[in-house]
Amino acid sequence: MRRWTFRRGLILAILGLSFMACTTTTIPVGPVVPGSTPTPCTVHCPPPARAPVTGHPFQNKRFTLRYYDPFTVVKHDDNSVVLGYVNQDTGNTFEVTFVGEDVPSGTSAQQLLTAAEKNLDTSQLSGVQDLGPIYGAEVGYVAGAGDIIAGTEDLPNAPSSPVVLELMASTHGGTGILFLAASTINPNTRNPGALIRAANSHYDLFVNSVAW
Amino acid sequence: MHCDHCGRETPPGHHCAYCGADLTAQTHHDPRDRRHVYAANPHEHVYHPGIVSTFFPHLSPPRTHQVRWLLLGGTIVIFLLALARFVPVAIVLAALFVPILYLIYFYDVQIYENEPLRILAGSFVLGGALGAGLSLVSYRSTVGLSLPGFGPSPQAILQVGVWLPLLGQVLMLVGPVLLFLTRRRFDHVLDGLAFGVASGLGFAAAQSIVYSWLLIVGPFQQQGAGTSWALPAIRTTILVPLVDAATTGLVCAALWLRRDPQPPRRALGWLASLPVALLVAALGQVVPNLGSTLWGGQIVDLLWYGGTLLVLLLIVRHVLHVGLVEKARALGHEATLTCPHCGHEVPDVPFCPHCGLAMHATPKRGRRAAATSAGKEQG
Repeated sequence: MRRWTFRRGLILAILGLSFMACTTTTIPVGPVVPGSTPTPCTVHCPPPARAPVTGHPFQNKRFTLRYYDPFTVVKHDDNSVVLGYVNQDTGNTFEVTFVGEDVPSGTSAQQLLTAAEKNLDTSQLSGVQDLGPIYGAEVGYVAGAGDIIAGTEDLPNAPSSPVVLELMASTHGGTGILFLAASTINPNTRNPGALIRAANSHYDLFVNSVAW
Repeated sequence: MHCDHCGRETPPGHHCAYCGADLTAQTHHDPRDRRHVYAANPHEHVYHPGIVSTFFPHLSPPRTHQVRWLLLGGTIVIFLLALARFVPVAIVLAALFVPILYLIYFYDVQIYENEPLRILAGSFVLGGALGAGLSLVSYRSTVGLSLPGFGPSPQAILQVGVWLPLLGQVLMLVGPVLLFLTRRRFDHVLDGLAFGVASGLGFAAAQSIVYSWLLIVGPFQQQGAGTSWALPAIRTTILVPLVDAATTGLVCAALWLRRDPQPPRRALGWLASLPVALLVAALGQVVPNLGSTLWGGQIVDLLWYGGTLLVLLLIVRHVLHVGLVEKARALGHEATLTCPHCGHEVPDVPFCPHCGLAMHATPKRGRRAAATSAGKEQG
C-alpha cells in the first residue's frame, strides 16, 4: 500500500479545489445559454429564441401583441394599449404603451419618433435630458428609431424620483407604431440616485411580438 | 372722548381704545368693522394679501420690513441656486427657510411665554415628526403614480390629490390640538394661529425633505434646464409651507376663538366658525394638490398653489381681524406700553387709540416687561 506524502496530498487538494471552482462557475452559466440559438449569425438572422413562457394575447383594431407576467393591461382602446407593472418588493414602477396611428405615406420612423417626442408632456419633469438614441430600435421586427429621455418627476405632494422614458417608433405602409416605456427609480437600491431602466429583455418580448 | 359705538369714555385719538371703532370714519360702512385698518397692522387693509402681517402678526413695523425683505431675498437666493442647478443645497434651504424664520419669530416675540420646550415640541417638532412619518409611509406607494406620457392613474388622483392632503391636514392639527387641551392659559386667537402655523411649517419642511431625499443625496449639480429646477424651488420655499401654515393656522384660530373667555361684542360671522374653517382648510389642501395632479405643469402648479394661498391668506386675515376686534380685551399689565406701530404711549387698553392696533398683536416680550415694571404679572 502506497503511503500518503505531503506532495501527493497537495496535488490532490489542488485538483479538488480546481474541480470545485469549475463547477461553481459553470453552474449558473449553463441554463442561460439557449440550445437552439443559431449563432454565429452575420446577415438575415432569424429572431432569437424566446423565453419559454406563453404570455397573453392582446388585439385591437391596429395591432396584436403578446404581453407577459407580471405586466397587466391598464387600459386600452382601438389604437393603443397601456401595460403596467409595480414591483411590490422594490416599489419600482414600469409602464409600457403601444400606440398605432395612420401616417402619411413616406413618413420615416425617425419623423414619427420626433413628432412623438414633441407631443410628450414633460411639464412635470425637472432636469429633462436626452440620453441618446436606442441603437437597433425596432417594433415587430420592423426597423425603426428610438430615443431615451431621463428626468426627475416633479409632482407636488409626491416624491421627486428619477424617471426614464424609452421611445421607439416604426412605420410600415400607412401605419406607424409608437412604443413608449417609462420606469421609475427603485428607492431601495444602493445608489438611489442612479437611473433604473427595465431590463431590455422585458421590453424585447413585447416589442418583438407586435404584428400589424 | 365719548365713543358712540360702545358708549365708553376713551382716550383722545382716532380709534376707540375699548372697541377699536374708527371714530373719524366718514364712510357708510360700520366704523366698528374698520376694514381699512387691519387690527394686527393698522397700516394695511384687512384684505391686503400681506404674508408677514398675517403669519407674523406680533411684529413691529421695522421687524415686519426686515422679515419681508428676508423672505424676498431668501426666495431669490434659493431660486438662483436652483437655477444654477445646485439642487441639493436649494432643496434643503427651500424646505427649512420659512420654518427657521418662524422659529426666530417665536423667539423674538416669545409666543411660548415661559414654556419654550413644550410649545415648540407641540407645534414645530410634532408637526415635523408626523410629516416625516406620513411621507415615509406613503413614499413607495406614491412614486411613479403619474408617469409622463401616461397621465395620472385614478389611484394617483385619489391618493396624491385627495386623501394624502386630507390625512396630512389632520396630522398637522394633532400638535396644536394637544396644546389646546393641555395648555389652557394660551387662550388668544393669535396663540392658536401661531401654534397652527408652526405645526404646518414643521410638517411641510419634513415632507419636502423626505420627498426630495433622492435629489438631496444626488449629484451636487444636476443636469437639464435650470428653470425646471428653479420653478419647483419657489413652490417648495414659499407656496407649499404657507398653504400648510394657512390651513392649519385658520383652523387653530377658529378653535382658539372658542377658548377665549372674552364674550364677543357681536357675532363673529360664519367664516370664523370652526366647521367652516375645517371645510376651508380641507379645500385649501385638496384644491392645489388635485389641480396639480389633474392639470399640472411647473408653471401651472405655481398658479394652483399661489391662487389657493391668496384666498387662504384673505380668509385668515378676516378671521384674525374679526377675532381681534370682537373679542378685544386689555392685556392686564396695568402699565403703559409704547405702541410699536405709531410710537405713542398707550395705557392698558385693548386698542391703541392713535392707530387702532389691537394691543394683543404686540410682542409678548414687551408686555411681560411692562407687567414686571408695573409689579404685576399679566394674565
